Amino acid sequence: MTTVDTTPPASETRSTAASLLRLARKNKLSTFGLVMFVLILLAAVFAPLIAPHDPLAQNIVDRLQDRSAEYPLGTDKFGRDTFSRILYGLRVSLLIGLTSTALAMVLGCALGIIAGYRGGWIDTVIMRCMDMLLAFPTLITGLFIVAVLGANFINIVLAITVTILPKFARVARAPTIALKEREFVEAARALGYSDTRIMSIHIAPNIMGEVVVLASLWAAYAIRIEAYLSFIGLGVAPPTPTLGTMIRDGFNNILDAPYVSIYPGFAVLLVVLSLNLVGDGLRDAIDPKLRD
Amino acid sequence: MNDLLVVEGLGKTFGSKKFMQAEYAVTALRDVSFTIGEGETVGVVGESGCGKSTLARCVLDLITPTTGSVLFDDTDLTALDAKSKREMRSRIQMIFQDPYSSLNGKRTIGKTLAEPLWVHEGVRFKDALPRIHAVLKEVGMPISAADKYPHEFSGGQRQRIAIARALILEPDLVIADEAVSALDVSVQAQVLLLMRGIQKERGLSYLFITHDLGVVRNFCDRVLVMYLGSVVESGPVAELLTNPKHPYTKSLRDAAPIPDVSKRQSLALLEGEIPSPANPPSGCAFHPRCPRATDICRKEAPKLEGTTDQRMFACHNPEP
Repeated sequence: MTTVDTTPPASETRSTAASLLRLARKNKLSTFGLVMFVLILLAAVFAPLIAPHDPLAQNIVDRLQDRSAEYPLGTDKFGRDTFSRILYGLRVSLLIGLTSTALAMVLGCALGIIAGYRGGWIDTVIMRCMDMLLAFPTLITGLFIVAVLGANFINIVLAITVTILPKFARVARAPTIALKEREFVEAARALGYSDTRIMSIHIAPNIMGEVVVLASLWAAYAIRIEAYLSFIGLGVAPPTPTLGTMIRDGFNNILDAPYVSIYPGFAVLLVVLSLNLVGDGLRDAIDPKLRD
Repeated sequence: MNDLLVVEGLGKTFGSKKFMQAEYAVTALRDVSFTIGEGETVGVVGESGCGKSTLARCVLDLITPTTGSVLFDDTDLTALDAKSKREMRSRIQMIFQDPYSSLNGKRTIGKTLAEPLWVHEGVRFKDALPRIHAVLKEVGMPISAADKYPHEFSGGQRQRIAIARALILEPDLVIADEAVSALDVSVQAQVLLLMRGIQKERGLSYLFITHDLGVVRNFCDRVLVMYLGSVVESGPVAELLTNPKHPYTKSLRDAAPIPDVSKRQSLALLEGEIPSPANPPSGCAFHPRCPRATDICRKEAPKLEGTTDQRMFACHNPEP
């Protein structure tokens, strides 16, 4: 019975914190992304404490100024402090981006797994609906929904959710079809597990790696869509600052005061970049084969 | 010996009729009948594509058979509603070919073993632990295995775990679909010994599907030989292998390698390949490859007949 003897000695159970620390040491770039994202998140959450000025307070005398001690990132055309507005804008942008991505991830994966696992006409109906949504350029779908329902927080979240939902459905469906043929799914059916159980406990965790990477990328994209919508005036109503509205506001003075648009644009870049780095790290972390 | 499983006239035709696509029908299983007694091991042998795995999945109702019935302990499985069928599942279990894909890589062994208990008996993980440890011990694995993931084990160890999963609900019948084919020979022997030991202890029955006659010889009581979806010969192992009646059984037996070079005879190897089940030959399905084929074989399919239930074959010109 040699196979029994070759069993590796039982490794002592490590705490989650310790294993995360080990992971962080191994994947420096993702750790950097995570730190960056956490800092951005903290900055957004504690915006009222950090912001040097009221983001809505206008000071026409100091309009369109470049960086200074008083205004760390300058002012816009109404003389509002850009730094404070970015902090408050991050709150709205992140909330919209992350909420809509989470919604799209849950709904899209559910639809994709059901389509892939059930197959047949259910698959056809779900996936053709997803194709219909994909047939329009993402921005057009979002635009249409916001234009019809009106621009407020809930409708913008809804618009972005619907826009990126089909991508999750497609990404969830393909590996589901592959997994359905695997013997452990057949074994689950042989053991008499219900379809709901097989889909949620046996298939979903096995496609999470792909989905989480995608989610981090699409969270970045959702934040960009929010910026697009705001840029063309279909975002959250002014004067509430969002990163997109701020970029648009600076656009009129892009030649004489480019920094008014550039700093919020840079904020979008940082958020998107950190999310992408985190996504890469998450993919490694979720795979038990790479855990040790 | 009471019959635990009675399969009668089981048939499966895979077909498709889709818009803008050519219609096709593949008969993977044709009128298969057999029984398994309590504590008995019945082997099913045949080339790839002969319907062995389809047979296993039909018995388990993973695939719904087109015709025929599966009587398990006097209950017709094909006539049950979904709920009673699921309950019946706890009494028939399956061991799969590939231990690398038959375990969910995202779950610890403990969770994998606890799940059937939770689904069928509502036993919580904590309360299931003694039973998990007991079954791990039974298959010769350390109880520390419960906290680990499948990728931490070798193929043979994984197959033991798969056997443990099949056993934890204390089934009456275990279907082993090429359960040792993916393992190397020394591990094969261990797993087979383990399965036999468990059979002795628990008195369960096996439906043992394989392409390896050597394994059948050592492990099974009776054997069915399948060709292109039909049973061509059946009978007690020793008798069937020493005195095969069907030319296909004979060629299968003769093709099995003999580990002693001096005893090797010149092989009358079978030529050609198994025909496509989508386009089967006329008459006896084996006639294009059969050395004993005559005109009647091309025209008329032979029936599975025999003097007793124990020994049956389907051939117009049986071997002497």
